[in-house]
Amino acid sequence: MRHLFAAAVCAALTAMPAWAQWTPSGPIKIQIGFAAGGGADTLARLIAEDMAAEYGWNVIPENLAGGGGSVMARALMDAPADGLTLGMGVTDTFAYDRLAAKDPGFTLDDFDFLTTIAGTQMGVVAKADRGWTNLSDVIAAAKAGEELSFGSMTARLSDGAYYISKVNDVNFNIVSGYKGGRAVLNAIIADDVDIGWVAGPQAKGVAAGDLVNLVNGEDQPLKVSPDAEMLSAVGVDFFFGATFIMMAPDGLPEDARTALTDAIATVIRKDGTKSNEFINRVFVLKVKSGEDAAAYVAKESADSEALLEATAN
Amino acid sequence: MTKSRRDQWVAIVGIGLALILLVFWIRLDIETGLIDVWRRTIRIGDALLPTIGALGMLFSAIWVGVSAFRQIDLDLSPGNSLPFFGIVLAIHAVSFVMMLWVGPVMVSLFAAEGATYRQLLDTIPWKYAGFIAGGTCLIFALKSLLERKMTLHSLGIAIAATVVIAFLYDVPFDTMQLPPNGDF
Amino acid sequence: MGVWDYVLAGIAEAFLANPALMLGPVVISWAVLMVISGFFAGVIIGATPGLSGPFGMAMALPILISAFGFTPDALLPVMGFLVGIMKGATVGGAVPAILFNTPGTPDAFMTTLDGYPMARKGQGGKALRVAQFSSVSGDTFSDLVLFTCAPFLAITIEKFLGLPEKAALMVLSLSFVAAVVGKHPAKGILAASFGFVVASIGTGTDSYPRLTLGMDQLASGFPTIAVFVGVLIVGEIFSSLDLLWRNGLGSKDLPSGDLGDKTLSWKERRVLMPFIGTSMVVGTVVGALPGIGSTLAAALGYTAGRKMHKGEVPFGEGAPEGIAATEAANSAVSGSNLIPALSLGIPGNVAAVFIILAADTIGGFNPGPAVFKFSTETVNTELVIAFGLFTLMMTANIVNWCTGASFMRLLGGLIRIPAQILLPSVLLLTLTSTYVQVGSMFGIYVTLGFGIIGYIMRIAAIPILPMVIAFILAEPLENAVRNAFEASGSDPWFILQSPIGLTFLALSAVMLAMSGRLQERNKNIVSTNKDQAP
Repeated sequence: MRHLFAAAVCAALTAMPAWAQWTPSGPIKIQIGFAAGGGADTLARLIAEDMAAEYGWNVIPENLAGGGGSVMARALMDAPADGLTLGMGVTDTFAYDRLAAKDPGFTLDDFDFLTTIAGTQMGVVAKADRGWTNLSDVIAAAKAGEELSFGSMTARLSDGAYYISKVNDVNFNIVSGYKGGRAVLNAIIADDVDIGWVAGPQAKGVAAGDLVNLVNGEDQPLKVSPDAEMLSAVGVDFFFGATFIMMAPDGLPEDARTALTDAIATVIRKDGTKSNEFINRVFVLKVKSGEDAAAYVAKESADSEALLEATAN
Repeated sequence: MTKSRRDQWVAIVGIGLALILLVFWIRLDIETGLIDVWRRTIRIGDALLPTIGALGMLFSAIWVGVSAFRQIDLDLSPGNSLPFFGIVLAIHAVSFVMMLWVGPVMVSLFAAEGATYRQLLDTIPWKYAGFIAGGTCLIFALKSLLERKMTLHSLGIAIAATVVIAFLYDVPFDTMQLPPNGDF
Repeated sequence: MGVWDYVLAGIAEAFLANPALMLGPVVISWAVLMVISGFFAGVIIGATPGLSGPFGMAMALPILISAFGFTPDALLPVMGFLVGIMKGATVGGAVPAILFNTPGTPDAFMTTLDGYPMARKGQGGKALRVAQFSSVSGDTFSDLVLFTCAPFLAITIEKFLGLPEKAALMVLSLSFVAAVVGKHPAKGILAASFGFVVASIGTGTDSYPRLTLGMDQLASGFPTIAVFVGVLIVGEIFSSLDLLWRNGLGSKDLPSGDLGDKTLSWKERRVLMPFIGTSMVVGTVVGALPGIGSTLAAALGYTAGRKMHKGEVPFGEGAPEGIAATEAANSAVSGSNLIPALSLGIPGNVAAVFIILAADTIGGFNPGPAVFKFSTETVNTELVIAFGLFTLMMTANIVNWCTGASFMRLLGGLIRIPAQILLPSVLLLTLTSTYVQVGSMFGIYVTLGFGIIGYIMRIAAIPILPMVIAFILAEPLENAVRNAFEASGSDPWFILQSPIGLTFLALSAVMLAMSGRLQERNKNIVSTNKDQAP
């Protein structure tokens, strides 16, 4: 962690001679692709506050929800690339959702991706008293004839649930209408669905022993249940985590891009900032900046394309 | 206008809207039908809810129309409000144009060379210019219309009320943006 | 630890831990300070046309978290402030409803029906007093139900309600609209159907947001706040402007600048008690059920009150009982709404979402069944926090009992502003409050558009309330039906599979069948806008 931080600072210093230090010529607006009041919104607002405190810039967060982030994306790509307008969204918008939409209205080239910020803790969750310890148990139960419902909150996750059932030759009743991060968890607790995707809020219930992470949906171990079954164990080689990412319209001047990327990456990594504390509590820190950020989105796009192909027939 | 004439209008507008919805809008502007098949599962499509709504409108508007013919006719008419309402809407239009553009125009006239409204929209006095101009216009014009006279006193009150409203939102919350600053 | 030890520990946690001020021997904790300031902030938010409690909570949450941080000490002050806003906004919404005929919140709409006529008769002060007394009674009762039933009630309810039953419950709650459609059922259905169509725009599950004509601004639907504010407030302002223009200033139709008698005698309170009692039970029951909300509770409370009423002033012409029936019902939703939120972690309404979010973010308190384990060996700290929160809720209620009336009267001073200044200023205030929430001029245009629709509906004597309720219920109804259908494996008869679902459906049919009779017996009601016939 410290090495990464030092490396980033070195890189920033060498890339940017002291005399060319970029400063914004007015207030920086961060357009948040989520509705006010949720976890992602709070994260963006805390980053804005930390950037203001750390650099003395004037940072104004704005909500621009709708279309799973695509409304924000289309508004952002039309904004001038002067570093005064940034966007905060989730990689799904630019990968699976973009590919699944008939006419998304934007491409990856319309944006300069600055840095990823944080990742989810996606897992397939059930109540502990159901007696399953992993997804293989659930698949066995379904094979034995039990009718099971599988809750999901995005099109990508519904497709994931479908792919899991397809590969394993079972049938789940996929309940796809849930909106927002906690809705599926609520449905599981209320026994409305048997199992479902949950992106992080299950952690406390899992730690308390009321819930189980049946399978790990991420490409790295889950913090609260590091030994959860991997998706590969049920024949699935895709991952379903979501990553929050900060971007700007394409064509940002080099000095502005470096300064902004550096500013965001610095505040979310620095011990004791509000955003850092929030991320460690609710998400996991996931910082891939500059070229790496764009590459991360491109990789998720390629994976999503493969998933769409695999489920298409 | 009489009561039955009014209700005939309600029926005509209701039936018209419902037919536009059923014949054009719902069919052309929704991707999934009443029922949607996705990955071999049958789901409820996006068209179901608006179709139920439109059918309900059609049915009830016909009902309103039919009973309009049967009811005892009463004269309602307290006079025609249309011209007055037209003026009220025109006042809104002018106020909104001022709200949106007074700031940018002032910046291009009075601010330092090369500065844009985007850069100054969080700086006094520019951040308040559009809101105060448009808001004052709205209150002053409506008040003058109701009193059927324009006075300086009215203008003073309009400015004062607008300034109070601006501070109500702007002072306690530094991330809230007054009109029109969210649009730039 | 026994039950009483937990209660005492909770009280101590609320009052003594984390002191903010020392006034000699008196210690005021941050938690108490925050719940009181939240309450007063909430009254102002509720009294501001166009601002609602949930919006205030959404704005406050990131600020509170950044101010108090993530330590367990932050839990009670932050949740206390949010609860304070919730309680304050409920009572504050009645102020503009009574004085200006513009409800501060949608659930105060029914308050205008009798409150505004009272204000016109120079009884505005008494109307405010009735609203505050009924509101705080309903709120306190609901809180007491929360404190005593939270540990088991939500779990029992959830055990009986699966997805199909929830869908049937939504159908049932929608059928209650039949009770409030007014004199002319056809127009009521027209309004409700229109509400469905409006709610359809921009929502749905497909990646293309339906009926948006390709407009990105509509992609997440019409901003809810702009629709409410437009139909309920701007439409009413347009009507009043029209009236003032035609009748001239100084017309008898406007409230006099005097609030009149501001007291409420014990005798008057006794007359109100049956109405408050009925409504607070209605509100508490509605609040404990998932996803229905305070606007419908207010409508049901008002309808029940109308049926009970035998006084000399009929409902809709300035009967204090009408205000009491409405305010007790909508305020009684807030406490019992927290029953599923605290004992299962499932929010029953938007306000509860923010409380859960605060708890989730700060940590140390996980709303869910574990909260109410009365462990005797070890100390269940979450239960102590829960009792701390209850203590704060009661503190807010006490503040409300003692000072709410005078605070409302203070706001009531606004009535002295002449209408030709007040109406345009409230209009600008309302448009500004939608702008700060939506963030672009589009929000103002939508508000104005629905203001025109609301004005036309008033002229055409189409009731507003069925449209508002249908608009609110459309999304939960559609989601519940969709999810239940998918979970059943696409069985078209899913809703008929359980006895409870069938019972709800049968009840809905009875409601609809009875609506004709309900209207017959009560000529003088809720057409929600006075049909302009002479």
